[in-house]
Amino acid sequence: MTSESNNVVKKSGNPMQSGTAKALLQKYGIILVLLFLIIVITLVQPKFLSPTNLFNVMTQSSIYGIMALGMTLVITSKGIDLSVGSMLAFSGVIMASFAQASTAASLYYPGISDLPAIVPVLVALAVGMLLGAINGGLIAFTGIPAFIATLGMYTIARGAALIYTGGKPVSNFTEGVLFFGSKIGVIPIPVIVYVIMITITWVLLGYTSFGKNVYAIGGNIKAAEISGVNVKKNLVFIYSFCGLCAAVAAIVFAGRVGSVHPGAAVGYELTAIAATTIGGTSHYGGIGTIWGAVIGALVLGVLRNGMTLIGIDAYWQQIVEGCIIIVAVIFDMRKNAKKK
Amino acid sequence: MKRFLVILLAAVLIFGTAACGGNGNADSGSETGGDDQITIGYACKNLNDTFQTYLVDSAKEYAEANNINLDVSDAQNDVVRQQDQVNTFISQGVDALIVLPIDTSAASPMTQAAKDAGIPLVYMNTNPYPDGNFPEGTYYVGSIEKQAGEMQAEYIGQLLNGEGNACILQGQLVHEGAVQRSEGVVDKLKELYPNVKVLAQQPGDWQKDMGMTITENWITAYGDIDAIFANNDEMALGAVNALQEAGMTDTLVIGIDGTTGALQAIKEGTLAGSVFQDAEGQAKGAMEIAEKAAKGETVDDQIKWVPFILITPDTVDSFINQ
Repeated sequence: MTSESNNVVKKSGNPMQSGTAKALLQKYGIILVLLFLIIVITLVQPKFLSPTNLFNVMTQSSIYGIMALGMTLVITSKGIDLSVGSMLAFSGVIMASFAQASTAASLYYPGISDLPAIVPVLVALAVGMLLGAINGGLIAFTGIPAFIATLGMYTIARGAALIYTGGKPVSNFTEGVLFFGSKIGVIPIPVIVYVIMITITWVLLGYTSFGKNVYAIGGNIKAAEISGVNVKKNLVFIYSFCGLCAAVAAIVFAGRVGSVHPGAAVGYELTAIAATTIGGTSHYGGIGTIWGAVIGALVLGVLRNGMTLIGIDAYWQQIVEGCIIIVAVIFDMRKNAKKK
Repeated sequence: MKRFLVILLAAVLIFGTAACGGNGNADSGSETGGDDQITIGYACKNLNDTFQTYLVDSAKEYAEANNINLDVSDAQNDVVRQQDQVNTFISQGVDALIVLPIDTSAASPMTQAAKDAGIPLVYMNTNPYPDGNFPEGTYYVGSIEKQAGEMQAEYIGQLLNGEGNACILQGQLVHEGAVQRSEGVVDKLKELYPNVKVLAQQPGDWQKDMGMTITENWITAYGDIDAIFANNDEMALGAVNALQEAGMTDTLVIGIDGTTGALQAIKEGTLAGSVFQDAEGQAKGAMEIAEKAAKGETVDDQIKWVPFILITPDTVDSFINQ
């Protein structure tokens, strides 16, 4: 069995004795929140349930949803990554500069011909992983807190993106890159990329020794070390994967928006952390699931989409979102406290 | 010892990056400049904003052409940080200050500090004294934000023959410019085209991706939208993306700024128009006043208005060549 399912079993206790309804509520509470939101929004605005709008919600959630996958690994290992928004911007602008059509007005590399989409994509992934590895390396080998290391990267990567572009957006992409924002039939490519990333992360966390190490490090780092887990190496991997997710989000962003601004995705790190937290990943470490991160991202996506559809005032939208995050965590802490 | 090292490292990391961010693109203040070379401190709002970089670029051009030493600071939209940066400029002994105030209601401490040090202060782009009563020794160069929204409403209202449904994509609501531009649209529509209904207003925080997301949701909610007024070009281009994907190419979208991407979209016919905010006119106007005041020459007017100009498919070529 995986550590993931072990945790779930522990959380729900013995459902037969403690009341099945209560156990189900604890385990699937966040899904009930999601269903509740969907029902309320649909009652006010039935157009919410149209297939186009449902795909819109998933597309709109995909960018921070993908970031939340990497964030789940990080937070499960009792860390935090504040730099994902900046990493998106930096890997995004570097990628964009290799994705410009040769006919475009502003070229970063004059004389370069149209590159096949695989080149900018690989460049983005490499840059994201490299930045993530630097985060992980700083945390593992200098011992500085994850909060500080990634706070540094938060400003460094943003500054680097501004220097690289001179503060101006990079646009005019080749068809190959715009593909990542298009559709196959009715299914948007960002949703397909999101599903692929969910599957990869789910397998990684649930069915590999790396995944077991993530839980072990988050649960008790000393115990993990004693039992032979190479903590340093695994930390570098965890943060590299988080950087990789930010880069994948950057690819989707570039395809969808058609340009990358060095100031893009400011504050997305907080949305990714919120999605992860709403999904039940504990900031005390050792507890976290991928399906939770997906539901968390969808809760935020449904909330933002639905509030615009209903026409709720913009100021109130922020307040509602904040309340949902706090309530989710209160609920989660009670659940985990009972476990002990 | 280890803890000390950690703190030291963290401090170096944070202050190191802050310093980079602050002086990133600027020529660092060379104190060795000749005696007759004047130094101007330029306190920017936030270099994440494309239009702000246009302003800085124009100011730098002017400085190079006129042998002025220009120090640029970036407050990253933090009011307190901007005040600190202005005070640093003052203690450095700059000859004049140009400030783009982040919070228009928090300008008086900066005005006072400059006045106490006897340094002329030129406010630019965002007006901290909307009543026009600028204290002695302070100047203002900018445009009337509301005018931009009014121009949008006049032009689009005419194209719609005074009938239709519209939505407004706003900038960050903490920016007075965003509020005034939107007000300009709403007021002018009421006055001239009362049958153009404003269905919704929502902030897209100046960002293209948010403009796109909000427009997608509006399309779902309202279906039929005849026009979208955006407070800047980036959000307008995001709206264009969303409309094209939904096959709604008849919806008229108009932005503000006149960025390269927007001009191209107007030429291609996907964007109905934009309103040109004259970055060069603002930045060079402010530099001129700052230079004069620093040299002790008399400045004729305390306030210099730089007009907005409407960009349409007919006039777009003259802007592309600029």
